[in-house]
Amino acid sequence: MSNLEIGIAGVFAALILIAIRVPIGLALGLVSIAGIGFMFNMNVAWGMISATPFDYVGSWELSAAPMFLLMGFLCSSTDMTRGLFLALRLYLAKLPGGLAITSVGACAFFAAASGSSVATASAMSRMAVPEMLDNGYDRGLATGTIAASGTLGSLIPPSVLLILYGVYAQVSVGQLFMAGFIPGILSALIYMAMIMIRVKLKPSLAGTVQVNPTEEERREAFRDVWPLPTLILVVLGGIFTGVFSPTEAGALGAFAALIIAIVRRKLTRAALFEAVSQAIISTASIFIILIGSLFFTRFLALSGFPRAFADAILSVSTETWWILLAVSVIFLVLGMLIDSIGLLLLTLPILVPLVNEAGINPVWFGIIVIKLLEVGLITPPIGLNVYMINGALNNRVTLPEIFRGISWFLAMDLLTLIILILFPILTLWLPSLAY
Amino acid sequence: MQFLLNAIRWLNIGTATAACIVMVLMMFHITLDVGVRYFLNGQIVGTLEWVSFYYMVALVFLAFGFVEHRNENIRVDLFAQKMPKPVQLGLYIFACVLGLIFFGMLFWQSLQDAISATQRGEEAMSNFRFLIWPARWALPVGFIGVLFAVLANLLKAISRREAL
Amino acid sequence: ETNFIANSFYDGAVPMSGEGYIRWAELVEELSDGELVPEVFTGTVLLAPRASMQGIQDNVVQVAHHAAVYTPSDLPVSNAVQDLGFAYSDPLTAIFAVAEFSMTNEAQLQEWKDSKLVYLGAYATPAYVLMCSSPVRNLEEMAGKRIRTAGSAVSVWVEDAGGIPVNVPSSEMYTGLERGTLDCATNAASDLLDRSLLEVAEHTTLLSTGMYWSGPQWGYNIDFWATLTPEDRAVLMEASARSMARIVIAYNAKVDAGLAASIAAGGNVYEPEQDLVDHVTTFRAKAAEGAIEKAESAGVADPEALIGDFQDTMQKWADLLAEIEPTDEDALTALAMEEIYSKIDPATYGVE
Ligand code: NA
Ligand code: NA
Repeated sequence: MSNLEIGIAGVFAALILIAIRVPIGLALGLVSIAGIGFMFNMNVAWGMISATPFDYVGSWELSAAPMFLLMGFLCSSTDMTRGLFLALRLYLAKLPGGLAITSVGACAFFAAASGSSVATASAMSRMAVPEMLDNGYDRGLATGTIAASGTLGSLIPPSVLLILYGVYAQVSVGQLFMAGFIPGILSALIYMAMIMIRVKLKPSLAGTVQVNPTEEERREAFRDVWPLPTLILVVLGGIFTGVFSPTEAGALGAFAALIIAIVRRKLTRAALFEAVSQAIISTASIFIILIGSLFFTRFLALSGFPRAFADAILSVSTETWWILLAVSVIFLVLGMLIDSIGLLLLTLPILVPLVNEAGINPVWFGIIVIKLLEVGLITPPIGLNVYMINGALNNRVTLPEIFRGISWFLAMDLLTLIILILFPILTLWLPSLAY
Repeated sequence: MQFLLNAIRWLNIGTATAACIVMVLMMFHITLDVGVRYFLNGQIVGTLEWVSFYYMVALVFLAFGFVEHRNENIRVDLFAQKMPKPVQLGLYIFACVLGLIFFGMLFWQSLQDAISATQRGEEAMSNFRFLIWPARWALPVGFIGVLFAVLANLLKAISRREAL
Repeated sequence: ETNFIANSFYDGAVPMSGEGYIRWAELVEELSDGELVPEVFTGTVLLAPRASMQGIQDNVVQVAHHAAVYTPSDLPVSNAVQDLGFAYSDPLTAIFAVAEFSMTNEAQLQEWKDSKLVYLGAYATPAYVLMCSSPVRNLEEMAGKRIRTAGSAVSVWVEDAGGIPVNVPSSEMYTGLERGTLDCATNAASDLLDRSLLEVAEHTTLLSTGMYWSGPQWGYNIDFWATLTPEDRAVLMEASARSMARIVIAYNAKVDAGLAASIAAGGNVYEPEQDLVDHVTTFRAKAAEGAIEKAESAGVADPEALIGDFQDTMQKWADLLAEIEPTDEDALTALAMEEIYSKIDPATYGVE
């Protein structure tokens, strides 16, 4: 077998192992070790094992990831979104589908304080879905709204996916954060518009919400709005004005979340324990995949697969639209099966050389990739956000019902993607202001 | 066997607790560094080195075993769930065996690296003398934790005759 | 036909990778009539910078660039000699002198041998200058400035001159200058353009704060080297000689382009004022002492002889190059062949 054939065999072997429930990091890592052993000898494989994990994990840039995870988990374990949600609800309830629109808005806010989509969906599902269901909302709409809006978590900065992409593709994480902001807001606005139109056409979707708050209730609701916007101001303000690097913003954000929780008297020992242990588990499970992916990168690079793949794609056409179409198809197909972080780390070794060769702007491409990955979080059969909501509601809404509710949001995601591809300025305008 | 499983459980909880403490320390250290810079125009020497070589390495590797213990490794469940129970168990055992091989190799190699780094007193490139060999030991410790956790999960799965 | 893997962790735009690996590979193929076929990887796809030497030793790659400053405890002799980087500023002299020294000095040769690699040529960066967001031309302006430094010798100097040495990754240099968490960066002036520093550092002071050359530009795996024929090795030597000339020529052109672009964009380029020059000069005199101390603590048998040999070699090349046009690739190549590689026996060099 030639090295290239071993490389291709390795890609298939990894996909098969992943499909039979071998953990993703393990599948990538073992295939790489075996593949390199085949292509060269085991000494080279041992050399890779020795030279990789320590040198890549010990990284200042990557340290932003655990910090943003900690911040997000602190926000959810200390219930930092509730006040904002209640206030938005009072003011938006009169709109058609007001509660769902409120939920999208609250998700967008929470996304600006959390680095992860699943964490965003998880935090909001416990609060917003029961509220909508109790008010007679369509079950698909109620759950679909949160599953889809949860995906804002990785597009609106901060975002662990963007950190991983930035470190891997050697693009400034700060620039990526800025680039994700407008596409994230755009996604949220498109969701909101779709909800309004649908409810206008079919009012029964939104049940009958009676909101006639007293003056006292309004004041009460407003008293607890400040925590989340304050935190977002610290973190995003710091990054956008260039006062902090992403790592520093993450640490300061986590610290600020801690202080806010103390001020609100919400920092119980249980809440702290939950946030810290969740952050540790998330970090470690991401890094297990990252290490497997680093091995996979070396294996594939040595086999010549990425170059051959890039040549094959570019031999059809070197136009940007064709490359994006090919990439989109790959992501939409694999995104049905593999979760976003695993898929990002699985495909980066193949895609980054392609993008470099085709001369596509890596910041813009990164945002498109993240949006595609986010779509994968809500497509059947494997949609992590969907499973998470199903679990958080103790199966009160079935999986098919949730997936049905999501179909409308998927259509909107495709619309957003087309807009982002047609108008790169939407992505690149904010970073161009700062740099 | 229950004793063995308990011992493994506590080992993994222990290292994960250490990882949690390190993460919180990292948060305070970076925050303090930013504070000193803006309010005192000074700096805490070595923040970059401490974060990269010690905090990150410890908080990531020491938590590996706990992730496996809690069965939170990211897997694709879709196809396996459609299979009959015995096949599911078979696939799970297969994955565990692969895990033992993979993490066994990582443990063995990182142990050799840690020993050799210790013997030569490994330092990092820095503006000052900065020893990094102690950080190397987080890897074998973390990987042996995963090895034990995989073993424990394997034993559990076999005794329950059911994939975890 | 011999296929092998060659790796340099720099981006292809940096001469160590562009001239030293990508164009070098074409040269090797050409000189060997297609007998030697290197497959080149640039960037950190295969190996992190810190892991380059280990990659050579483990035969993950057969030849690689390794910057010895990343592994201070593993290459003490090379790092001691690097401490003299603060005392010199001409990359042309340095690249050839370091190559000759590294392939003839006994202590240095023993270190390569102990590290299981074969040294076949040097790299040298241009002198690192001060690129700042506000003018730093004298000691007064330097006081309290936060300066990104790479390496201990220069950070000791910065501190002594009243500045604050800061260690941040080079990827954060731009944002650091932009945000004001850094006032200056010390790097090659080519970074004004390559890393767009001219946008955030409008004031460049042409004060040399040292240059970098430690570790092999081409470090071969010792077992791989042994499998090559003497003819193959001779080809690789000639490729080294020409590529070293190309690296320096390309790097100097990049420095000129960076300075010109900065001026065109409205930036300022200053010569340092006398007090700053004097301060550096006194400090440079101490660089040799520091290097000797470092070599001594690393267990080198005769540290004075080691440093003395290095200084003599530098002087020798300064004299040799005085007669030669610094952009004449052929002349530089011929000189390197005559003074260095013709004196090395391809049948025995690096073979146990
Ligand atoms: Na986010
Ligand atoms: Na999916």
